[in-house]
Amino acid sequence: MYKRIIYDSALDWVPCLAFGVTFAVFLIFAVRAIRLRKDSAEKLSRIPLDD
Amino acid sequence: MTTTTAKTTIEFNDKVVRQFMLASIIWGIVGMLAGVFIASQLNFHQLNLTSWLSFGRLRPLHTNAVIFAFVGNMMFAGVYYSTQRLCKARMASDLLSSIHFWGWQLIIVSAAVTLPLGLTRGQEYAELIWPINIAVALIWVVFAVNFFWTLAKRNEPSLYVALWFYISTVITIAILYIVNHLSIPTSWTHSYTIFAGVQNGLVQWWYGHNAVAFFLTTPILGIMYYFLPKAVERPVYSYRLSIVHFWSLVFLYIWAGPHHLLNTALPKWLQMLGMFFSLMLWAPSWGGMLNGLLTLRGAWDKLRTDPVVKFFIAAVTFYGMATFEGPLLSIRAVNALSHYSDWTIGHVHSGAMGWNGFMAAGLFYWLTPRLYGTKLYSQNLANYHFWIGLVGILIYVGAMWVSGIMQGLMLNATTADGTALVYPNFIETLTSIRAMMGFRIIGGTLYLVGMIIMALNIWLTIRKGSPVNETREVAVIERTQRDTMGLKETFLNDPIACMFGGLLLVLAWLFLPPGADIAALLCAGVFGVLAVKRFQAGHRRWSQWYESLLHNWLPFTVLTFVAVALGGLVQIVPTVLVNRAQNVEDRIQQPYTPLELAGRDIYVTEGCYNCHSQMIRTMLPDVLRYGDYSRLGESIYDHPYQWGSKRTGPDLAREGGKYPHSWHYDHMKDPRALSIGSNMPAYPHLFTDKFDQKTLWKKIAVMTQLGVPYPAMTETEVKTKAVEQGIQIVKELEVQGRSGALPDTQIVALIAYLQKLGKFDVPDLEGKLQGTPAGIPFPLKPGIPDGYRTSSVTK
Repeated sequence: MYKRIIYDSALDWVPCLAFGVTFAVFLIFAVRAIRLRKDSAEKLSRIPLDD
Repeated sequence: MTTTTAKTTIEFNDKVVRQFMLASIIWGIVGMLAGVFIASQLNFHQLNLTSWLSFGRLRPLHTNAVIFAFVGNMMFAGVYYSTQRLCKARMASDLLSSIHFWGWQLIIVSAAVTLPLGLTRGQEYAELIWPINIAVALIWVVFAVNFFWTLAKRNEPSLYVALWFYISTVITIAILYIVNHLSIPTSWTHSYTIFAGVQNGLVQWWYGHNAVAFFLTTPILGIMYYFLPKAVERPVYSYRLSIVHFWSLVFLYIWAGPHHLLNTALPKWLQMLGMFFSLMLWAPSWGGMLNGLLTLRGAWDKLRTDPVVKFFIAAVTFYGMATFEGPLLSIRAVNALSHYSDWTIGHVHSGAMGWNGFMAAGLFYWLTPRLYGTKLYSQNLANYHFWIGLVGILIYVGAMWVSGIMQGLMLNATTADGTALVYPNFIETLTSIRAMMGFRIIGGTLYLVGMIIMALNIWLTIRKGSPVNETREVAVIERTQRDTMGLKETFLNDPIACMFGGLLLVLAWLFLPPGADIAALLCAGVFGVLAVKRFQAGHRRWSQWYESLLHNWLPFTVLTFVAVALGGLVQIVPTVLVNRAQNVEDRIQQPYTPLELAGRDIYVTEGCYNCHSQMIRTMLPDVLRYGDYSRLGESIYDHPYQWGSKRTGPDLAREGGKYPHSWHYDHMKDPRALSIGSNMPAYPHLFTDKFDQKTLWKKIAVMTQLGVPYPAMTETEVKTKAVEQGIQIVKELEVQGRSGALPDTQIVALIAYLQKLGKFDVPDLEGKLQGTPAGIPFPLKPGIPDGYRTSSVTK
């Protein structure tokens, strides 16, 4: 295992795994953001202007 | 719906905002003055006036002053101002606010004193000595307590996105700073990092890159999300986009550190990881930039008339440029050209001067009239500042692009058959970029002039007005209306359980030995199916849990912590555990003798790593120029590692034995006597100052504790060995015609160190096999990693 961590170039799977994990995170939060109700989004975005 | 119980009038603590703002301006000018001075030293070596005013010692002062003093104080000013307004509450504790301010300034003053004295840990942006490190950690805790306490007593149920960015900053900087500064002291002013070689490189750039991410970017993005809508008097373009921006950025950034170590001895899978995550950073960074720029929709006319908007929009544009360039430089092929060159310097300055500096200027011009109850003294002066600063940045960055690309191309140029260098003499490439280095001084000076104009404008504004603490009537909300989720609700729920369980199993798949990893993968698959079923059965609960993040700081903070810890764990833990001598295949560094170790400390003290690398990359031009490429095992005992990040001078990884002692002796006395056209400072004090014998024994003891295979030695034996080697070097110098050197002087120790660079042993494979335990490599406890070897010290 140790040798694999030090010497394995892993060119074949690291990029795909990196992309997969990131895309999953992006997808989850994009869906959550899209599902945020319009009035909630509007209310939240106006907080700084609420003086 | 929020039910209100009563209304109350609160007075914000704007005093601390004023203090941080003024401190930022003062330290900003000091830091940039140091920058212009060291830029001048690169062209005019005579400006290295004395040991404590030499380039190697002042460059860390410049970087630390700009990052932690200028941007740090600016960030705190913005955070304190906006957090109080977004929470509709005064900062929780005036005492903590005050301790934070004065403690931070004390840290800055300590840094300004210790760095020129050569007291350093020898790692970029992490140079400060261990007592100051502890002070930084303590003051950061004070800030964190004050910040979270304020969140807990807020009168606004929702957490605006700016607060999300601040939370990620508070959490992540604490993790990064503590891990990267783990050291064992050898005296009150010196310590050795517990990490060595590639471990140290990886942890250092995990920290270094994310200092850029979470100290220079996320808090400033929070400031952008609060102050830009205020300045243009309209809400942020898309709140939904800001949510995606935040989570994508926080999740991605932490993985990108290894792009600072491309083409080095770092394991290739880590290089790939760093490169791909850096490339993917393009998306959230540009999402944030566009969100900022489009906030100006329908108000672009303000860009012509309002200097605050001018600074903010230019800053956001520079953010976009820098975050385009960063991923570009992270592509291995591009990095082969750009790394160690001025291109990187240009990149960081477009970020620091354009993004951070202009955001600071916009913030201060917006804040000052409000904090002092008057109008800005002069809009014209602010406009002058903008244009002078902008021209300064463009000259600076343009010059560094040309310089970096030109020198990179020259250093990498080989003949048509690829067997020889076109420009074998390093000095030739340095001479060719001298003009560009001159333009850098001009660009930097212009930017500094802009800063001085701002200081003058703000000073005159302050004189017109008087300090004002804003008061505001707010509706006090009941405790039940905010932060309804406690520890139990935060952790004991399906989304959190599935996330942690899945992560653990995936990590097990990646890092367990063959057999166990397949089992972990199968378990992860089964776990995934179960999680999907749980989601199908109760997706409303899952949705509610997410919605609750928007109103509860504790689960939000936990999730942020998970996002940032994940990247660090995957990259660092395995590498830290495996970087032991028994795992290294072909070469193992020879430990330094006591004198060589003393010489290495002098190398670190003088900041030689600011201009010289010790890493020959896996690239033909590097190998042709400097020798065989550096192996992972060749810096395995280097605490701290000295791979460097810039080559103003040549690489030194295989310097040992390249020249006679007399060459180094003469070179340190007058570099130009041997290298015509060199811009390296002379080091006359090395010829008179004695090397440190007093704590040398302690240093050897700490190194042994860290796993360097020294034999047991008494204090007297350590000193005797050092002096004996010093006498030997002096004798050899005399043979080479250099009389008068003393064996206990720093020059002798430094020569000993330089002559050791690149010396390695070939491991005894039979011994290695005996020394490597079979099966699962746990428990993972530190120890002397290569007891099978006979130390070179004892030979």
